[in-house]
Parts: sequence; C-alpha cells; structure tokens
Amino acid sequence: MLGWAIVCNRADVGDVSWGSRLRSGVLSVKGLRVALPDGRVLIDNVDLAIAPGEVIVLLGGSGAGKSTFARVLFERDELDAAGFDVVSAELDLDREQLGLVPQRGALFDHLDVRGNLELALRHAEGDAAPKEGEAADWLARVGLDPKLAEPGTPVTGLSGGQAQRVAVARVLASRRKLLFLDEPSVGLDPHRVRMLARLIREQVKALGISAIVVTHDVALAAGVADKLYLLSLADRKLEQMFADRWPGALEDPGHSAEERGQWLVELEAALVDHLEEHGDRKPPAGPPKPRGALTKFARRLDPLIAPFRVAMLSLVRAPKQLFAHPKDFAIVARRVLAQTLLRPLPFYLIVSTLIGYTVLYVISRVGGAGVRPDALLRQIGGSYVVALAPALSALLFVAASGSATNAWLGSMGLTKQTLALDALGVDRKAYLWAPAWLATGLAFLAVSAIFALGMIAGGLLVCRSYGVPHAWELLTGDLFDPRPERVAYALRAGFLVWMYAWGIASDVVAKGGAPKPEADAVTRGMTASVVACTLWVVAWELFTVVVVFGG
Amino acid sequence: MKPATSIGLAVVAAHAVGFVALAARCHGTDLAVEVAAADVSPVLAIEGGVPPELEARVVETLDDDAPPGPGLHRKRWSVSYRGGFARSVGTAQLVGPFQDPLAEACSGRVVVSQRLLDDGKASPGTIAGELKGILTQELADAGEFPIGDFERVEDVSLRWSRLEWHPEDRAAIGVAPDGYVRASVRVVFQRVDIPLVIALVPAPAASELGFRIVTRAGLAFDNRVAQFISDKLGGDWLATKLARRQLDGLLVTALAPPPPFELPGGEMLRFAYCGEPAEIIEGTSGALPFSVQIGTAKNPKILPPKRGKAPRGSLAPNAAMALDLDLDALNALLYELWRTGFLDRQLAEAGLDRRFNEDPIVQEFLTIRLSPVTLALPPVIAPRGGTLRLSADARVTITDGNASTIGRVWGGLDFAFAPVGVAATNVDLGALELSCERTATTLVPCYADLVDAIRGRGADFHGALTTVFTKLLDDLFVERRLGASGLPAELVIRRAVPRVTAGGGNASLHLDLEATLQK
Repeated sequence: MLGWAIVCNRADVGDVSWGSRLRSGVLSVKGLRVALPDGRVLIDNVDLAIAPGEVIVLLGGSGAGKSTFARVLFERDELDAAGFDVVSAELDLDREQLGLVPQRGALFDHLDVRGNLELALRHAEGDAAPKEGEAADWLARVGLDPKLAEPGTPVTGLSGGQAQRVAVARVLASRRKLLFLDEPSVGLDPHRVRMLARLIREQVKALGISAIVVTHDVALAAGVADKLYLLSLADRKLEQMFADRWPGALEDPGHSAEERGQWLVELEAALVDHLEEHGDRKPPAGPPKPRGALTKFARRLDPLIAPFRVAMLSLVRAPKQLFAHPKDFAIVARRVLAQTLLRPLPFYLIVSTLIGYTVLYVISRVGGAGVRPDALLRQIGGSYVVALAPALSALLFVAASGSATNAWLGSMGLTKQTLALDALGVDRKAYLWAPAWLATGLAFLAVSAIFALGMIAGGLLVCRSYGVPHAWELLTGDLFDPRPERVAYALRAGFLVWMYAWGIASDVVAKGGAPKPEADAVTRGMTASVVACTLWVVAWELFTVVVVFGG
Repeated sequence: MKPATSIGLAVVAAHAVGFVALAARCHGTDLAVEVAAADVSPVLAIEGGVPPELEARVVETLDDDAPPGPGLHRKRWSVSYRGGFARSVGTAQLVGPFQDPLAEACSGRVVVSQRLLDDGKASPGTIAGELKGILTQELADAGEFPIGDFERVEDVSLRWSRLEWHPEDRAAIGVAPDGYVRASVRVVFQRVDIPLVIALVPAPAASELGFRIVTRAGLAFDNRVAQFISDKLGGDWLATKLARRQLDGLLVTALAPPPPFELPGGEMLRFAYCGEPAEIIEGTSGALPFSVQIGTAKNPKILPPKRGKAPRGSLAPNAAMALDLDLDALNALLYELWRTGFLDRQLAEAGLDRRFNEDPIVQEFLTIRLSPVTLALPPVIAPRGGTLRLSADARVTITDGNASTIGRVWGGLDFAFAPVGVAATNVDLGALELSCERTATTLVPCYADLVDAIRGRGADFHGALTTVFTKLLDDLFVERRLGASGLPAELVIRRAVPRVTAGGGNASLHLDLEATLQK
C-alpha cells in the first residue's frame, strides 16, 4: 500500500482508513476534489470504481481535468508543490499495481527498446533479472517485431504507433494490474487507433488486468470501453455516459460494423453537444486554499533548499541503487559522465590551457622592464592553479556540464519519462537522481583535476619560453607538496573542489529533476542552476578567503 | 521543511564549521627547531629538536659538507619541497682550538726575492743598486795612505746565501744555520782594489729583526809591502766605513712584517716578529715569519680559530716580494677587525640596511625593513677545495608591519684565485641564509623565498664582489711605501697578486708583490 502515502494526504481524508486492503476492485475513489491554487475547482466530488478486468474511459474536453486526474494518481507531490488543493473522502488504490502509458509512450530515450522493457522487467515483482528473450516476447505480445529487442535499437527510430505499443508492452511487462493510458492515440492514424484498441482489449483479457483510458478519441473510447465516463465541464463532476445501454467495447468480437458506426456517431454527438454547451465555461471559483506566510515562504524557499534535500536523498539512495541495480546505476551514470565529462572534455582542455597560459604570461610580464620573468614565475609557482582552478572549473562546469545534465533531466520530465519511471515502480530518486548526482559530482572532481592539469600545461608553455628549469615540479609543487605557509591554500582548494562537486551536483539534479510542465521550464531550470551554482561558488570562495586569509 | 532538507542544510553548516576548524589546524608544520648550542665550543656541539611531523623529512647538514675542524661552523636543518623549494634554519658555532693572545703563533711571513735583493746588475730599484749608491756616497771622501783616494765601487752583488754554498765564508761567519745575506763589492782606490765580502746573518730578537754583520776584505797589492799595509788597515775599517747602518736598514725594511694598520677609532692591527728563524734559500729568496697580534674580546671565550701551519706558496718568478698569510693570520686579522667593532662600523657605513630599506623596489613591493647588520661572531675563513670561504654569522632585526623578529644571517663569500701569474680573483656569494628567532632558542625559517631569490641571483653579485675585493687588495698594498727614517730609499709596492695554497685541511693566502726601492 505504498501508494497511499504518495497519493493522499491523511489530513485531507477524514476517517478513511489508509493502507487497508481494497474493499472492491482495483481502484475506488470517492469525493475527489481538486482545486487550482487560486481556488477554482477542476474536479469536484468525483466517485470512481474499477473492477478487475474492466476498462473504463474518461472523456472530456480540454481543461476538463482528465490530465489532472492522472496527476492525482501519479504526481501528487508535484500538484502539492504547485499549490493544488487535492481532497478526497476515499482513494483506495494499491499504488504498486498502477501502471501508466503516458502520452506518446514516453519511452526512455537513454535506453534502447530492449532496455525500456528490461527496466520494467527488472523492477517488476521480485527484482529478478530478465530472462533471455523475455523482452522480445513482450514485443511480440503487442504485435511488434521481436527483432526490435535486439540491443542497440533506439527508441527514437520507432514510429508513433510502435512507440505506443512498446510503451504498452513496457507497462504490461511491469506486471501492473491497473493500467492508466493517457491519450494513447495521439498521433496515430485511424487504423492504428483501432489496432491499439484491440491490443488493449486483448491484453486486459489475457492478463486479467484493468485499465483507465483518458482520451479525446471517440474511436478509441468506443473501441475499448466497458464503461464510458465524461468529466463534465458543466459541474466538474464525473458522469457515466450511456450507463444503461452501452454495449461494451466495440472492438471486442460480436459487434458489427454498423453497430460500431452508430455508437461512434452517437458518442461523438453527445461529446460535441456537451462541449458546444459547456466548452468555454471556466472552472467554478472557490475559496483559495488558505496558506500561511510560512507556507508561502517555504514555497519560495524551496528551489533554494531543494538541492540539499536532493543531496541527502541521493546520498542515501546511491549505495542501495548501486548494489541493488548496478546495471541501472551504470546506465544513468555513464550517460551523465558522457554529458558532463567526455563530450565537453576538449572544451575544458582548451580553455584551461588558455587560461593557464594567459594568467602566467600576464604575471610574468607584470614586473615590467628590468624584472626577471623567471623570478616572478618561480615566486608564483603553482599558486595560480590552486587559487583559480576550483572556481573557474566550477563555473565552466556549471555552464557546460551542469546545464547538459540539467537539460537531460528536464527533458525527461518534460517528455513524461520520469512519470513513466514512477509508473513502472522505479524510484526516480534512486534510478535517476542518485547516479546522476554521484556521476556529476565525480565528473566535476575529474574536470577540476583536468582543468588544473590544463592550467599547468599552459603554465609549462610560459615557463618553457623563459627557460625556467624543472617547470613541472615548480608548477605542481603547490598541489602535491606545498610549503608550510601554502598548505592552507591547498587545503582551501581541496575543500572548494569538494564543496563544488556535491553542491553543483545537488543543484543540477534538483533543478533538472524539478517538474517540467513546459519546455521553457527546462531552460529556466538551466539558467536558475547556473545562477544558483555561481552564487554557491562565490559564497564559498568568499567564506574560505575570509577564513584562510583573514585569520 | 523536510528532514532531508534539514539534514542537507546541517551538512552544509557542518562543512563550514569543519573548514574553519581544519584551516585553524592544518596550516602545515613549520620547521621550528629548538636549538641547544653555545656560541663558542672547543668541539662542534650543536643539537636541535625538530617537530615530530617533520622528523622523516628533515635533513641535517653541516656547512655544506665543509671539512671539520676549527672555524665557524653552521648546522642546518632543511626540508625540501617539490619545485625546488627548501625551508631551512641553522645556527653557527665558533669551534676551537683557538689562538692564544699571549702566545701568538707565526702565521705569516714576508718573502724577499733575490731579484729585489740584486738582479745581477745592481740595477736601480734593487737593494744592491741602492747599496752601490750608498757605498759610493759614503766613500766619496775616503782615502788612506798608501791606497790612495777612493775612485769607485765595482762588482756590487747581494745574494741570499747559505754556508753550504759558500764554504769560504765559513771561517769568517762561523754559524749561520738559517743562511745569510752575502754582499760582495770591489772598492777601487787609486792604488789598490779592495774586494770586500759582508755577511749579514739574520738574528731576530724578541721584538725586532737584527743582523749580525761579518766582513771579510782582501787588498790585492801583489807585493809584500802592500800586503803589510792591507793587514794593517784590515777589512773592519772598510766595513765600518761602508754604511753598515744603511745596508742593515734596507734589509730590515724589506724583510719587516707589514707595518701596523691603524683603524678608524684608533685601534691598530699589529704584526710582530714571532721569533722563528728566517728562511733563506740560496740565490732565491729570504723570508721572515711574523705573527698577528690579537686582543681579548668582551666574551673572552671568543677567539680566532687555530689551524696551525699551513702550506705556503712559492714566490712567483717575476715577484719582488711576497706575503704569506696562513688562515690563522687571516682569521686573526678578521677577529681583530670584529673585536674592535671595525667590521660592524664598516657594515653600518656600507649601509646595507639603509640601501635595502630605501630601495625604491623594496619600498614599493616589500613590507619588511631591516635594522643595521651586526656580526655575532668573528668572520672566519676556511679552505673549501681550492678556494677560500669567508663565513659570517650576523644578526639583523626584521620589521614587518608591527611585527619584528631577530634574524640570524649566515653569509659566505667564496674567493677563487687564478693560477700563478694571472691577476684574476673571483669573489662569489657562496652562502646566504636566514633564520628567524621565534624565541631565543627556537629558530624558524623566514622570508625563505625572498632570500632564495637573492641567493639565486648570486651570479649577479660576482662582478661587484670581485671588484670590491680587488680594490681592497689594492688599497692595502698598491703604492704602499715602506721605509724607516734615515734610510735613503723606500720600498714601494706596485701590485699585489693573490693566490691560495691549500692542503691538509689548511691553506694560506699568498700575495706576490711587485716592489721596488725608490729614493
């Protein structure tokens, strides 16, 4: 009954007994009310129950609350964070049995087709490793070519229909008993819509599962629905359509083309009539959810303190994920290392060498005529690396590597891949955050070392031009064997690198992993992360300067 | 606030606090050495305790591997760091045995060449040449019946001699184990030539050089009557007549120790006969040892080190005179200069501190200022391979902002001299180190990079140091006129060429002097 803690808030539900066994069916909702932060009611007093083996369809116009209903089930935290007011008298659901097929499938694009399926299989009951050929079997079950399960088949090469089927196969492979299909027919042609409808019906029957289908698509709705519900724009309540005469899923055997045609027309007419009458009606106003000043302050403060939460959560989850799911850990970490370390490596090498050369060259000339440059270089030694490398590498890392990971994590949220992870029962904090956090931190450690080496290389060029002997030893002395009076500087550099590593990693994951309702949120997250990390760097630079030099 | 957030913020705060604590503790271990050593010791005895954290890294050295023995020694504790940097502290100790002010040793000698004595032609500028003139002048109105009036002096010659080479003189001289000066002349009168041989046998007394003069004259008349007269007159008459005083005086002037050198303030550097016999080599040179007189310092334990007899150089073929100064002589001189405060005054006059403090670059870029430098112990010269090193242990107060500390400066000048005949001396900065006194017995490195930078520019000082030393030699010797009242001529030194003779852990400075006698 893990899901209850996520989906519902005990304070909102009065006397409902949470964590109890389901009293009937696989989902029972009573009195669900969802209001926007400004008090407008999106969903009001909704009751819904699904029996095993049943497929229900939620229809409704744009803004009727269909997606909000899905978010109630899957993204309750985000709704709360966004200020929604979610209240229900009863929300009885085994969260671990709830699977999701998001819009357009939301396949994990950092995995191949096989990887998508195997991730679901690994996180299904028992965490058992997938058997050989199991992924291909699931593809075949949804009518796809088993060859797509061959390693290296990218999900980006699939057509819309194939992607949707793979998404269905993935959620089926996760052994979920209740499927939630969110606009599954978006982008599909009529033929593929019908194929999808048949597939859903077949799997529901074959596996004995239930399904909630949220759609605008009349053909899909009529094809799969045992019951049809309309989220009414008139009163924001849930109304069952054709309750006394709906013949059942029209894609099931036994329904003629004429019957199907008549129902499609009737269903469409009913839907259009409803929309024509109530389509422009705005959600009814209600009293805004009372929020204290402390709550408002906490909401504003959250983006600032979220990284610290991410750090601790990642720190706790990383070891477990590493040992429990080493392959998952390695996949995400490898992706992040590629983004943060390997791809921008030439950038770091070039920039650091240039900076090292420029800084040391300027220093060598600062004495002007009559001052021996080599004497100045000897005095400076490797202190310019110790002083500058942490901050410079951090700022560049935030801008380049951090933004890359931030964008990747953000795009996963934007394309509902993170939602799909949740729906597969994959803890996104363990699967995504922990390895991304660790890999980003490690990547920064590597980048700072590479940056220091680059600055030293630039310095070597300057030393070479002046014929400074033993330049390598000279420039690395402050790093590897500092004189007593310079130990504090080396200590400061090491401390800064450490702080920047986990600080930047935490902020990148926090900002990247934050909800991304639209594309602009991704870029906002990147910018915010650069600003926040820069402030982090500045703060620690100043703090350590005061401690080391002021004391 | 969620627990994870609170914990995260607490972790950040813990990092900040931890760094403050870490920075306070992890500042590197300074090389602070607890020194236990007296300024002066009969044997080298310097002990020092280093921090335990550095014990494995500290390297103890003595004077850059200078040979042990009497002198100014310095023990150094060093830690090397990557990049060619080192931090070191050190302390000096004057190690015995020491010279005795009451029993000064013969640590120098004056050498007079045969060439100055007589170049074979009794040329002007030689003692023989001067002797010829003196004889002629003295005998100008001489005349005795029956030899007639004096006409001229011929065949004047002076020679550093030993009896083994002149058995004919043995009967007249008797004993001259250390040799003698053999003067021979032919005095020509109207009727007779008188060959005259005068032997001047060195007989140094306690405080001055003297000569025992023996004459042997023969008058050749080739007939018995004349021989009778000759016997009657005898050589003593001529010897008395022939300017005994002048000849003696000329030799004494040439062989005398260097004259007293008056220092500003009235103090004198004094040299004295030291009672050892003259060293005469047949037809080559004659030398007379001398000593350097030393006094007692405020701390009577501080005395110049005593190394004993040093190997000495031979006279250069073209040199008229030479001075041999053993290290004991040089160190005695330095000790006297230190004891009398002359060196400190010279350092103050040189204004090293003032020059440093007023240097525009120092004023613009450095925060430290120096007090005048004072020498804590007398500088000491010691052999180092084929060169000599002058080592000095000085004190200076270094002010940096409101803080001031006493610095122990260890300096060394290396003197290298070219082979015989080449007037080339090289003086280099051989050592420059600075330690600071955290307490009177705790030494720590300070301004190491600054000192290192100065030391690294040692080659830049080569020209200036060499010039200063060359000028010092010139000031001491060149155009110096030596003579005594009543003498008709003075010894004038034109040039001094130094070189070192080393061996057996000892050395001497040999100065070949170009000198002539002038009226």
